[in-house]
Amino acid sequence: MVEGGAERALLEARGLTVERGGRAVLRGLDVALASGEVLGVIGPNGAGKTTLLRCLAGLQAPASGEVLLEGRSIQMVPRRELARTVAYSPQETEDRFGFTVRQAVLMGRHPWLPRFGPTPDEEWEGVGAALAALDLEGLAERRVTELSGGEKRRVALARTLAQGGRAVLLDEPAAGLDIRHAILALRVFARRASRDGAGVAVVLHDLNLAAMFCGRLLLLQEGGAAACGPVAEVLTEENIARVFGVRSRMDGGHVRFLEA
Amino acid sequence: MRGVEPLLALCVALTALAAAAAGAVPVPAADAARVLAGKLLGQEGWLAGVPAMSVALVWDVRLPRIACALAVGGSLGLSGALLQGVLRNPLADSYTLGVSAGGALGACLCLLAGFTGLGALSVPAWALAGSLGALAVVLLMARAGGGFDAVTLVLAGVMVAATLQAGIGFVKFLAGENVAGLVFWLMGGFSAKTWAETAIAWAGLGLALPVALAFARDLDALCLGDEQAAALGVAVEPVRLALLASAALMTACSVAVSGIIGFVGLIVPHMARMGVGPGHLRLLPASMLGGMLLLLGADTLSRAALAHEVPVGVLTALLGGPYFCLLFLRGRGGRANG
Repeated sequence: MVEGGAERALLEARGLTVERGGRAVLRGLDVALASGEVLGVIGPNGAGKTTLLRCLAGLQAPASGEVLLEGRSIQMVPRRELARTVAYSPQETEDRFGFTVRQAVLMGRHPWLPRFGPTPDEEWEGVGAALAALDLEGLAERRVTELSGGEKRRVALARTLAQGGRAVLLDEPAAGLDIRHAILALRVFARRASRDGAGVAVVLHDLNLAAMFCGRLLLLQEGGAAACGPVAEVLTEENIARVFGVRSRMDGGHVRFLEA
Repeated sequence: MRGVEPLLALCVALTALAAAAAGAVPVPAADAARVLAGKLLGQEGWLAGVPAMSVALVWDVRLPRIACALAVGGSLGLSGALLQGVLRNPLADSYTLGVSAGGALGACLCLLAGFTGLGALSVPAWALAGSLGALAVVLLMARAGGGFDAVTLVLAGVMVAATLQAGIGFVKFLAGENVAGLVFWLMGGFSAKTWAETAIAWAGLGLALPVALAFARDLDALCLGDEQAAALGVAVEPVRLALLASAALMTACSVAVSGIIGFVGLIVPHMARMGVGPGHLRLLPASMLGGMLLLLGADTLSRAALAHEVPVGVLTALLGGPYFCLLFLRGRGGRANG
């Protein structure tokens, strides 16, 4: 983890306000992502989780406030450099024209590839490592269009893993994955933080997965931070009742829901 | 899979040679080869012994037509592949954004009004203006209607094309008994092409090809959706506009010199994908070569093998329609199993 008052965060949002259709999606949000940490972003549907990630990825300009990448306004970072520094996995991707899994993962290397000419061999090696990490080696030569939803999701995650970057932003990486592959995927990206020192922000709906893999949690409610801090401080019975409207009991660091 | 492109290039060269030799007055292939090689390499000595009539036939009559068919075929194949990628739509082709309808209306207006201010280039000039004008309207409408995303662009293109088609119908009506010239132009073909017209077609291809190849990898990333492409560092809208403009320019130049030749821009990219896969670094050149081969082959077939020359646009539509149905049915079967 970072020293107590880390002066310069890897990614920092200050007073982030985003409006869409006359409605504030984010209201003056402050959040920082440090190198080497896994920050979980949780909250109900429509709380602004995806919008926050898009702002942190530099894909959405806020109405007011700013996002700083290593102290620099993210809007000023050249596109290619930004893509080399911040890897973002959107909630949904498309697949057309029957690219193979290997080709689709290679596209994660886009910001590193030459504009003309063939793909360098070492790039293919990096793709192979990403395929192995997400248990896709057996599917490498299959067409993405022929895969199941969960398999496609893993291809997209392998692409984001291959992209590298000092910051990694994942929007619902576990959606559609069976529990083994959900844990596998989150472990892979947690290792990017612990071993490579990357800052990882991950939107999760499964609170127990969030508790397992995140060092800190940001609980969003209607575009503002309802709570932010260590998992044990954020995942409380009171917070879950207040924000999600669901009764629960904390049980050895895990959430048990009492609604059924 | 590796050697598909050289093989295609060789086929294009051999078809060009066959096209130079074949016709109502056949020229021996060896003579045709000597004329082409000698003229192209500046070795007039190689022409010794070839009848002057054969030289004129190959060099002055057939070669402009061959060169024109190559440029138009390459343009349609390449622009079809570009549009399918940019619009993420396997049913898109060179004409999806109303470029052909605009060009046709321009040409029809020129023929109707009898403008001859630019001599033989009057009709091409009007067609070019019509095509580019149609594209401009489509882009303005898309911008006003939500942005340059694939769905908005296709919608705007469909609306503009439908309106222009109605305009063409009205011009045909106004033409009365002179409608035959319009209809014949609209069918598309390469009879009596001059070097000036050929130069227009090659200029379009020559300008667009470098742009297309420069953004080939970006086009791969765009197939993953705008959001993912942007996250990978692709300048989504500028790249899409640059590629659309390149494809439209090529198509406009093609329509200007040879009318509307359908199905090449639709089918060739699908065939090329079967040969070299969907990656655009290989797909774009392969589509260009495939378009050249298909259109020159069809034109030569129509000119030399059929009793009456059928306009090549009619021939490609006659062959292309059923072939595309076949592709569609096979694709469906594959997906049902997948």
